Amino acid sequence: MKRRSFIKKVGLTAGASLVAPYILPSGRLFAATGTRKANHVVVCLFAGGVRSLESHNYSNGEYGNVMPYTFNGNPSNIEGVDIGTVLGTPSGQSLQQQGTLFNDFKLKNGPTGHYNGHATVLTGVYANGNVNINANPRNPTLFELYRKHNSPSMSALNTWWVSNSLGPYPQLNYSSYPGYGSQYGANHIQPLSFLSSGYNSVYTANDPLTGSQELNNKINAIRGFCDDNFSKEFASSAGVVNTLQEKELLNQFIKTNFQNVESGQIQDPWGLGDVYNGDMYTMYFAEEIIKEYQPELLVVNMQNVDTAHNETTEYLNNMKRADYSLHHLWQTIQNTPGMENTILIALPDHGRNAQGNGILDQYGREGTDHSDDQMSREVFCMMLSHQADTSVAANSIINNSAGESVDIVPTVANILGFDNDIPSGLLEGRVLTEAFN
Amino acid sequence: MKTFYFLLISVLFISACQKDDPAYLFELENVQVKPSSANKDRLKTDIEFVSIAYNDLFGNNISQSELDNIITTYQSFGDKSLVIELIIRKFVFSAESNIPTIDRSSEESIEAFVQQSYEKVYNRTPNAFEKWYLSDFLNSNEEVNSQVYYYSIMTANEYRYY
Repeated sequence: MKRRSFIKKVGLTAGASLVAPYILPSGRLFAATGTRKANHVVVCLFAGGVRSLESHNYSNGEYGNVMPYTFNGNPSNIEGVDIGTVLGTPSGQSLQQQGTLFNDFKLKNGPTGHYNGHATVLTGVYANGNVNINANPRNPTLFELYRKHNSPSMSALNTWWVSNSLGPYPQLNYSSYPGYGSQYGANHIQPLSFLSSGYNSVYTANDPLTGSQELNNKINAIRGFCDDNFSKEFASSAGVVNTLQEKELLNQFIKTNFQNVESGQIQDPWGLGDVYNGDMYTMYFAEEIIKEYQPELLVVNMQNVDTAHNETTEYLNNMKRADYSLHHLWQTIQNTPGMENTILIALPDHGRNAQGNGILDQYGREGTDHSDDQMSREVFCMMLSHQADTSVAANSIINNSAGESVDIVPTVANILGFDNDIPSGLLEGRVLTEAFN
Repeated sequence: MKTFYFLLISVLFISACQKDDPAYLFELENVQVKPSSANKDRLKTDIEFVSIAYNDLFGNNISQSELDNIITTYQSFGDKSLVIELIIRKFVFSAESNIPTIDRSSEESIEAFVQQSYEKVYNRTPNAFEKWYLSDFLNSNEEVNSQVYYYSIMTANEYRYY
């Protein structure tokens, strides 16, 4: 019940932000200046490097439509790509029929590497060789821009970055840019590692503190006394900051998911049998977050299609898994109360080379890298709105207008009504206005 | 669970093309108890913090595999302070932790417990006010057992410094 009342309070505050100006702690008068097109945005980085010939431009490729849930056209039957029989075929409209497809979309500049592709989408700025995978991005991320400029009251629980791997990806939740940083960052989780390693290292089945407000108040009293008698402050050296209330909500959510691991519920959450890969589990957990918090901004990525380097058949199987996962995400958004006014944006981090790399798999299919040729910069961008007839155009293909990866941040900012509040010079892209009715 | 662990291993392999963190193992030496907190000005790294907490509560060094597990958990969640709290919570409420029970038979015995806790956790003696306040708090809040008390002081700012 506390979670409900808390969310309600956050919602009321957010609602008020649409009409009321704020005096920020800095003294600056803040007002949410833009009109929102939607109250929630979910960005799916359909990442790992997706070649146009196996996605939006499949009619020119050799494998046919391997993404039938996303793109129009009958699914292809490919020897060795038998995952499709488990995942089935769409019974209703494809995502393309429900939304707007940008056919000419590019990661125009910078290296065609996974991290760079992600960083470009999430910062709205091309790296152009200025990439340091051991540090937070230099430019503000979408999460920080949202939390700082959309409304000062936005909770970190409203902003999530769900990544399917570790390495440099967790640090995309906030930047080192002056005036931004962890206080405006997103809550990040890499679910597979957290749930498996965390199950052993932080999960306590009989934790007496969870849910006991009275005991937590006593703890805060002792801790507060100790802090008052120590001269130095400690703020976590890194990481997003949640309030005490938010932490308790997070803790309960985490505990529920650990219990799901313990009971085996997480084994087959979609009733498909033994076909899950990391992308599907990552998407499943993103959906759990959507159902729990109805965040205004959530970004989730998939990367398992990168097996294309040396296992093209597995690449095609993983494409089908990712295709199904994106469809499942959209179904969840549509079926989750509180998410009625949502726009989903899906795009790959980058494409893959036109030419193979000479590595053949057991079916004689040649692998592909992503090393800056023209095709490795070609991606698609799909946008859908929950109320497709009022916001994002349905069954629309944008062929005659190029879009770029750096356009995602300004477009999301426009959807959520804070694009005019972002200081000039921070972003390189434009709003993808062609998608909107 | 097999599938789940297989996928975890796969994820770790995917991440393996990134620069690996070096393996850490901290060994703790005996230190002298000091009279005040004034000289504590060095912030523990998160790994040092976890290693020291383990040693304080279990009396021996954390194993490399357990530390690796904790580091992976730490890296995979954005709110680091929450992860740290959960780690300490797990340690404190473990059946194997060496936390003495509170002898509430007299004011002196409770004061002795507070004194011992400060020496063990903060590596110093409590001043008179600290000893009085915390003893009084424990005396009037019996639901605060020794584990809850240790969790409280180990998640306070002072424990982050040495």
